[in-house]
Amino acid sequence: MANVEVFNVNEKPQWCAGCGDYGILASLKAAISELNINPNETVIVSGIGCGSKIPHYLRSYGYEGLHGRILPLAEGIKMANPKLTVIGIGGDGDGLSEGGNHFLHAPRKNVNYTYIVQDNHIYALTTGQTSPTTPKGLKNKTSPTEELYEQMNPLAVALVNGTRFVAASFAGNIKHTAEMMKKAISHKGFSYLNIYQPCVSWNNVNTYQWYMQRCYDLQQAGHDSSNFDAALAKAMEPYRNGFEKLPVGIFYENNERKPLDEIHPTLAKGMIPASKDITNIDIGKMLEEAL
Amino acid sequence: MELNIKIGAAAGEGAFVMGATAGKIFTRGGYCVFGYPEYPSLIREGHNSYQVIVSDRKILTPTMESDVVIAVNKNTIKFHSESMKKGSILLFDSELDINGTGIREDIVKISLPVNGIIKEQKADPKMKNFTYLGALLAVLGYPLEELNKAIEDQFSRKGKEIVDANLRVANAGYDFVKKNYDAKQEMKPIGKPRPYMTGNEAISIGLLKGGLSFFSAYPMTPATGVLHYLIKNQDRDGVVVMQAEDEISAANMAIGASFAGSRAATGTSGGGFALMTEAVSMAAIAETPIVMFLAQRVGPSTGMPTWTEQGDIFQVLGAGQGEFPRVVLAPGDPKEMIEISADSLNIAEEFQIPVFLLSDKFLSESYYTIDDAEHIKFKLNRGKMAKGSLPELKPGERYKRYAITDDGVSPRTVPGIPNGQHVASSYEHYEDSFSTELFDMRVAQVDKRARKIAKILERSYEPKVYSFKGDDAVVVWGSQLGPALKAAENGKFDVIHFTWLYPLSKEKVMKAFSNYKAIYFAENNSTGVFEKLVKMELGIEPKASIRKYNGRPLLPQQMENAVAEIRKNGKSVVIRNEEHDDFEFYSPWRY
Ligand SMILES: Cc1ncc(C[n+]2csc(CCOP(=O)(O)OP(=O)(O)O)c2C)c(N)n1
Ligand SMILES: [Mg+2]
Repeated sequence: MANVEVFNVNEKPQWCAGCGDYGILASLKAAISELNINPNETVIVSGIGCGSKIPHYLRSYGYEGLHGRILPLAEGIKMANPKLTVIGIGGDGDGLSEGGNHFLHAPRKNVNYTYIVQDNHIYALTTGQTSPTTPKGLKNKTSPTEELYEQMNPLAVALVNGTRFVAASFAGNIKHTAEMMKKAISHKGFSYLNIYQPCVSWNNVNTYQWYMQRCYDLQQAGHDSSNFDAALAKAMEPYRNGFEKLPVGIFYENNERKPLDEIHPTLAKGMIPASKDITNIDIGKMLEEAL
Repeated sequence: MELNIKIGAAAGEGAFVMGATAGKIFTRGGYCVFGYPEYPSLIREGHNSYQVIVSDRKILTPTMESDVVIAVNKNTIKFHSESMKKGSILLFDSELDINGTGIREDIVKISLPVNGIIKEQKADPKMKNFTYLGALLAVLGYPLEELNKAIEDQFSRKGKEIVDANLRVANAGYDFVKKNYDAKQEMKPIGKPRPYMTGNEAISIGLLKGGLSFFSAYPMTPATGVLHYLIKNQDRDGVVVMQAEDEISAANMAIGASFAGSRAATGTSGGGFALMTEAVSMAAIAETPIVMFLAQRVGPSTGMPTWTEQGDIFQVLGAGQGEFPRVVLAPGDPKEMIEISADSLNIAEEFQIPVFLLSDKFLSESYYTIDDAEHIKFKLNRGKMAKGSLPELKPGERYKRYAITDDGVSPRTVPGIPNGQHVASSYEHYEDSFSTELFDMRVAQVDKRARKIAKILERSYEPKVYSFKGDDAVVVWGSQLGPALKAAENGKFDVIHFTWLYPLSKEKVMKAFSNYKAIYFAENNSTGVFEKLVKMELGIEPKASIRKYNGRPLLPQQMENAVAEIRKNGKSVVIRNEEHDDFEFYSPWRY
């Protein structure tokens, strides 16, 4: 079994003291090692943001790409070599704003990888601007006075677009977050995990305390995660009750559809792009077809 | 021997099917054929035309004057009869009223009862394409069996009934002409069948030859043909082809696939490429090899989507923030389309850089005959890709993916290889890929990447000189090779063709240029973008330039005339209007 140490690197993370990303990193290392996944065959794909620095802090393969482009980068990697475990991870601004179009289309494609959003409801790296999930009461550099924008509901978006594994967790609960990661990674197909993450520097609304008072575990509450309508209702719940309660856990899980990397005609025939023998490609048949 | 057949019809009325089938018939008979479609950005209405130039020698260009015109609609006669040769043949639907079309006396008119034949043979009106083609073969004195074979190939999957009906209407067209018209021409097959395909198909085959195993794109004319071709047989050819949700995704996916170890490319036109530019810059700093195919069309912005232009060199050179090495390629004939597309994947991996493969509507959507397939050369080179096992990493250590090396290229590993762990990063980084903002390392990494350029210049292709014993030469790049070669035959000037546009080796360029009294640049754009680049990079200026930017390629006759004018008065020439066809006629907005 891969122990956590093999993922250690010499460098120390440089997040603010008390940042939720420390918990997320600990959960991620625990999840991968507990799943016994080889670090050589793991690719952590991130974007740009505080949280997106995470690939540097665990020793697997990684790609720290562009702001908002985690999903296509991850899809390209997985489709080129489905043997790899691919995990995309990045901020709420990255994935839900800059990368919004990819988030809408990822469930359609249903490539087998996991997407984790570090949802601190703020643009942290750029020092505190409104993000798609910024709550109305959170004053920040780009919403100093008026509450101009509504708050996006990424869990509901993921659900209605056909994501077949949708879960949420709280970064302060490392054990539960690791558990959710393990479930998401084990799911065959595009899986989505929204991690509620306190930001000690730029978000004084959604604090550790705030989350601890509100989060409750869906599984303990008897939620039926195979029921889509129930899942959607749970995703809507905080938006309807003014965020008095915040469900975490697995909202929805459905294993009926095979992932793209199993049904794509090329991959279904066992032809893996990354290991294709290209030493001497014969184009004779292609020229012949054009006769 | 050279024959120009022009087919005209309303959009969706079969001009392309007829043109492509005619092209196939003659290439099967051993001829070289160049097929040139023109169409507005519409699915119905609008006017389509397809020129089939048949020759017993290599032909890579449309010409201006036709020997036979097939008119499915009246507009064809209006638009294309002026450019018919003296005594040439017009084959037209007998129900068309040709009064008022301006058709000349000297033209032989064959009025074909197409609808009558369809009714008589109880066939589907769509099959009338083959009535025209049957009639065409009768006019040319070409064996009808060749058309019959083409019909069988095309329709055998749809059943005997459909095949038979098509054969009947084709034969009836053929017989009608034989009976009512005294065909003087005798044309016969002259050799072995040769492949006939679009530029986009040749480029696709080239990419496959080069080991492509991943392609992602978002549809955009005139690049889409590559997506269509590659996806059709992806599971036979061992390629994963993805239609992405947008070009940003297409570019990032391809880069991801390349990082994972496959040979990957993406393709688009200028508008889509604009969206890919951030990814270009990422591939550059992360040193992930990537090939980006860019089929240019008329800009700015949506411009004229289905027409041709060579205007995007600076878009490609300026794509992506920051400074980094890149290579820009532009093939000009079918062999080059295959070889250079294949080689682009080598270059990307040898130097771990973005490589741009440029074509345009003219090159991408014209049909070419492959008459030299046996000479196609390619040798795989994956550069410094890790093979076998790597030395064990110490605890906490990463692989030095960005090791400072003499030639600027660092050894590369891909996920799955033990002890190769690193983070490909859009940030500046240490040798082991961890992010850094330290001055020394920043400078060392910039210098490392820049050191690649010396080797890239060594690797660059020489401009190719085609001699016609001229003491002056016309410089063209990419797609304009074909028209230039044809123009040079009569014009007696040499042609210098660039397929490697950037970076430029002064030595190699001077070697080509220094033999001439005068050099002229001929480009399919309004400002001479390549001329500008050569001046900027090498300080070389031509004596004069020839430019055309009305959406059509430079035609041989025009180039020949322009050179004659320059020789006379030394002044640059802008080709503003076609001598015959009026571009306005194609305009969807002016009907
Ligand atoms: C194309 C582009 N636009 C903007 C930026 C600047 N930028 C960097 S991070 C960021 C937002 C970070 O917020 P989020 O994604 O939520 O991550 P966090 O820092 O909160 O973890 C922005 C706008 C960028 N790097 N690239
Ligand atoms: Mg954030």
